[in-house]
Amino acid sequence: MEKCKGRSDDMLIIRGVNVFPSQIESVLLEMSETEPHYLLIVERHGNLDTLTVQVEVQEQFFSDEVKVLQMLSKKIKANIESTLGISVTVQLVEPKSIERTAGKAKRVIDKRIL
Amino acid sequence: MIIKQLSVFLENKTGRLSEVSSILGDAGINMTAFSIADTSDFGILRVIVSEPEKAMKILKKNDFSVNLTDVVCLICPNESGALARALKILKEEEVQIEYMYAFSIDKAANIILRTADTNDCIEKLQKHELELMKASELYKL
Repeated sequence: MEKCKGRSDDMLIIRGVNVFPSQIESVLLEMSETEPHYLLIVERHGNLDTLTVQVEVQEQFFSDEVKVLQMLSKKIKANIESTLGISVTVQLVEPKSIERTAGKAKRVIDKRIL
Repeated sequence: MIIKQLSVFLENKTGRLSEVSSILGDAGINMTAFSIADTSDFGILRVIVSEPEKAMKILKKNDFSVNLTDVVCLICPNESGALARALKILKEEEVQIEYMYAFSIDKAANIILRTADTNDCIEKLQKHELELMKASELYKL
């Protein structure tokens, strides 16, 4: 039996695929370059849902060179996509820019009007 | 000869650059030269400041991703063909340039160079008697 993915009421359905925020968290935790602070933004363009993952870059992995950061962003994207099975957009953001909330963290912004 | 350049990660959001410059301004740190590398998602601010270590500490305290990068400052005469001559030497010595930007003071054009191996680059430039700016001089500008 597969490991439990998370609470069913956290589940998002994006392009017909069930996505648990905790799946993304576990991908980020496995990578040493990223912090497990992330924000998922779900939008609908036309009839297509899009998922954007904002990820904070750990300070020690910040590089002066654009190509290094772009490679990191590609690696995060590939890891998340292989876990979720849908394509995502990864955005690197500044450390501590994603809101820290006491108690239950707000990880998802769903902008779709259903 | 090695110059410490401050590199700051900036999100692609309005007001980020303004915040960095006002933090540095409030701390009494002067900027001599800067350039921004931009991509669709983020930017990297590269700046030469009067006190790199102090600037890094202050920006870190304000939650910016910052690091110090080793660069070289080449002094070129401000005349046509001067840069071409300098770059030809770098080409012949097989020095690969990651990025560069320039600023000019009086009669000289100063070029900040980032190469894969800074020490090696300095050695080669000095071998060909190209003028390099000392870090202490640059920070004082």
